[in-house]
Amino acid sequence: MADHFKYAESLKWRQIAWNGVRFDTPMDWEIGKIGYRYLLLESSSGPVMEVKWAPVKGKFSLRSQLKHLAAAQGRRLRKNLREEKLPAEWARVIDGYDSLGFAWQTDSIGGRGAVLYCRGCRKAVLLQFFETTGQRPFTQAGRVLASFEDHTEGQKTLWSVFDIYAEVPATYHLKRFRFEAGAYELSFANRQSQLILQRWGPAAVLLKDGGLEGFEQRCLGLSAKRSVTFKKRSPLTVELEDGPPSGLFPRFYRRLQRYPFYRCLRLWYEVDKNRILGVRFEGRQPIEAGVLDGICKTYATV
Amino acid sequence: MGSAKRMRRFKTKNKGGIPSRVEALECTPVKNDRVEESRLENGELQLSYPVTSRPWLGGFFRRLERKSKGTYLKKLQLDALGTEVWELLDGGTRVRNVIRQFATRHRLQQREAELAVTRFLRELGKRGLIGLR
Repeated sequence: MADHFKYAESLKWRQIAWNGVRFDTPMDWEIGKIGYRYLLLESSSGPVMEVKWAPVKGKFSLRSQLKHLAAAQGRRLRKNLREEKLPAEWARVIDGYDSLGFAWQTDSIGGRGAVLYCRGCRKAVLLQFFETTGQRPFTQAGRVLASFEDHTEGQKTLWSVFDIYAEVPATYHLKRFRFEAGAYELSFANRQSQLILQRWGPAAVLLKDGGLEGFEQRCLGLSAKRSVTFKKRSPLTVELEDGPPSGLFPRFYRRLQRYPFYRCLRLWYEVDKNRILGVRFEGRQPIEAGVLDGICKTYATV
Repeated sequence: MGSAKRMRRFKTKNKGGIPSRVEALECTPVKNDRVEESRLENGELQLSYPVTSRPWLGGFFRRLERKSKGTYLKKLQLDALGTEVWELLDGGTRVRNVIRQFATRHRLQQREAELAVTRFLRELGKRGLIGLR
């Protein structure tokens, strides 16, 4: 993982991976808007790239999709949106997809993109690059498209947005996300359990009163419960665990309340990055040994 | 693909003269000279600033106390990060540079620092503690 980032940084490019889709972008392109299946990237002078994707059920036609897209626009833009042959470089790098190119132009901004359809995962992708005066992302588009992948082959899904990087088992699906100044949270769920990845910063300020324990008590409060066991794994890592209550009635009562029986939270302080990272598991079954360790091992800030 | 239908063109219209992001970052925040600062024991700042009460509320207080002048002093205690940003506002530093300094000091990403600092400055602006030049 570290090698990957060193390599990307040396080229001034980085990888963005979000909800099954991943691609490389120049370092100065930042995520401006993020949705469950949507990303808008911006540079200092405005938007540069937009990507949307969705699974397809039944038949899919690229041309009718482009018509739908044109119909959804305002009158002025509708006239300007036209089907256009993909540049040779783009066509070469996305030859694994069914594709249809398009372009549009207004007074201040222009766009060029493609509607893609992957037969392997039955996913449709709308990808477009914007061009305003003074910036030409079209020159970078070939490389972005060459790195574009819309599905994962392995057992793990990669998540790499803003400054967080994580590899999560592919059985977990994104349920909620929150990116606020100072606090990020990605919440995943599968049939049995819930997994939450958290990130806080700047850590030096947050840990001023009471270190990780104090921070947990102030902001999360899991340790306030009597049944929670607290472990200090290292000076920079703490772990909290909560199991099912011992009595039959409390156990039955908790089942009625649909509370998870097992909870585990690991918090650690990344000194060099000035961040606190947290991984939280909640489920009705005990957490499989090694799963938490595996996630914590790959979860990092860059 | 339903999501494609929802695509909207990028809006470039600037409604009501609100500065764009780039313009706002080029502004210089200036402190209101009627704000008084006092440092607390933990190093954080407490700001005191006069607020004019609403006319109907002022009238009510006048009747009640018979001495109110229609203004009262409000206090705002800043946390450690707020204190730091407040101290960076020297009347000559642009918002962009305040963000850069804040991001460097806390090893934050530029975008995250921008969100945090601009939200704080907006809050100060709403209270009339700063203005943008």
